[in-house]
Amino acid sequence: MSSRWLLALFGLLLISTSFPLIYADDAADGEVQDEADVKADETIDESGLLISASPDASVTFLFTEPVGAGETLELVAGRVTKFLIGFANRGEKDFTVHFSHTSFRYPMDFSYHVQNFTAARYQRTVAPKQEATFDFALIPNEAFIGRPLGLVVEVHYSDGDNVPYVSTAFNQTVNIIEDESVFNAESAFLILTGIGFLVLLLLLGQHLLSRFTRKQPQRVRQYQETGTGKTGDLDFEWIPKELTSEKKSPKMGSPRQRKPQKTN
Amino acid sequence: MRLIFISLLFVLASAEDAEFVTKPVLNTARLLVSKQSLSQYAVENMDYVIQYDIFNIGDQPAVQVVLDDRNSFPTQSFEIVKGLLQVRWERIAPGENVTHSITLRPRNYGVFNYTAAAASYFPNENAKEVRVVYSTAPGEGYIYRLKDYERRFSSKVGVWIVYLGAAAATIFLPYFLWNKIQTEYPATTVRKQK
Repeated sequence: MSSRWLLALFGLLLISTSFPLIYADDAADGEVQDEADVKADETIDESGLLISASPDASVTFLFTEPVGAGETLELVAGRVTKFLIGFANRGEKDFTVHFSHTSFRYPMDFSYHVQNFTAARYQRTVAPKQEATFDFALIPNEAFIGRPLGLVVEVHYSDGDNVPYVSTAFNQTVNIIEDESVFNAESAFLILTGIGFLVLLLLLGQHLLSRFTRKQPQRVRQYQETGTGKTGDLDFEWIPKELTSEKKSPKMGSPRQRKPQKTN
Repeated sequence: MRLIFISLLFVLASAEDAEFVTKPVLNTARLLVSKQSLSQYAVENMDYVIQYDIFNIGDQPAVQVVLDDRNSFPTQSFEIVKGLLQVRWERIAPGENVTHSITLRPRNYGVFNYTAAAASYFPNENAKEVRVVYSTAPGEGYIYRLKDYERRFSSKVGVWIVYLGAAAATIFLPYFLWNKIQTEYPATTVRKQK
C-alpha cells in the first residue's frame, strides 16, 4: 500500500521536472547568447535615453584563456584572461562597431561598478550578412582573489542611420581564484626565511646542549698585562748586529773631566 | 521488482534537469576567428609569427572553411617565410577549434596596420549561401629597425672583446714599462759603515 504512494510521489516528481520545458523557449529575438543570463541589456546613455540591442545584430562570446572559463566561470588573478566577441549582422544595413566595454560589478548589485577596464576601440564596419570577431584581454587584480564578481561585457555599435545600440555579450558572476602554479618571489623568500629560522633554532639548540653537557664551567682565560720585567724577555733581533754592543755605557762623571773626542 | 521500479523513478526524478534548460538552438555553425602575433617584436628582416585560431561555437559543422589573409600582407611589405595565407578546411565540427600559423619577414621598418583576415564558410551541410566572418585585427604595430633591435637584444660578444682589449692595454703597457726599469736597476745591498 505504502509502496504505491511512493510510486505516485516519484512519478509526480518526475513529471514536475519536465515543466521547465514549456518556459525555456524564450531566447530573445535576434540576440543569441551562449551561457548568458540576460539581466540588463538596456543602458541609459548621457542624454537619459534608453539604448538597447538591435534585433539585427547577434552577439556571441567565448573565453579563449583560461580555456575552461566558460564552464567553470573562474578567472585566475594575475594571469591574462582573453575572450572573443562575435558580432553577426543579420539585417540589411551596415553596422559600425565602435568599442567594447568590460567591467567588474558587485555581484549583488550589478549597477555598482567595482572596476572598469579601458574600452577597446574597434571602429569596424560590418556589412549585411557578414560577421566580425573582436577580442579583449584583461588581468584580474590579486585584490579580488576569493571574491565573486559580476563580469559584464558590452558592445557599443550603431547602424547606418547613426542610431546607437548596446549589446551585452557577457553578463554573469565569475569567481577570481588564486594563481597556484607560478613560482613567485614571495613564496621563495618565505621558504628562505623559514630555513633561516630553522638554522637559528638548530644553532641555539646546539649551544644550549653543549652548555648542559659540560661538567664545569669553562674558565675564560684572562691575559694579564705584566709589562716588561726581565731583560731576557726582550729580543734584539730586529736591530742590525753592528749596532748592538756588549760594551757597557761609560761611567757618568763630571762633564769637565771628559776628554773631548778627537774627530778624525 | 516494484522496489527497483520505484528506485529508478526516484533516480530519474532527482537527476539534474540541465538538459531541459535549453541553450538557444542555433541549428547553424558559428565561427569566431582570432588573429594574434606570437612574436613579441616585429623587426625588419627578422621572422614574425602570426597565429590564426578558428573556433566553432555553433551546433552544426562548418563546411568548406577558407581562411584568406592575402590582403593584409602585401608582398612589398612582407615576405612569406613559411605557411600559406589562404588555407582551407573541409569541415570544422561544432565545438572544435583549429589553428594555423604563418611566419613572415617584414621588408621595411615603420608603422604597419595589421588588418583582419576573412574566413568564408557554409553554416551547415546543406547550406547554399557562404557566410563571411572577419577575424580580430591586431591594429597598428611598429616594425623596428634591425639596428635598434640588435642594440638591445644581440649578444654583446664583440663589445666585450673590444673592452677586454682596451683594458688589457691599459694594464699591460705600464706593467711592461715598469718591468723594463726594474730589470735595469736591480736592488743592491747597503754597504756596511765602518
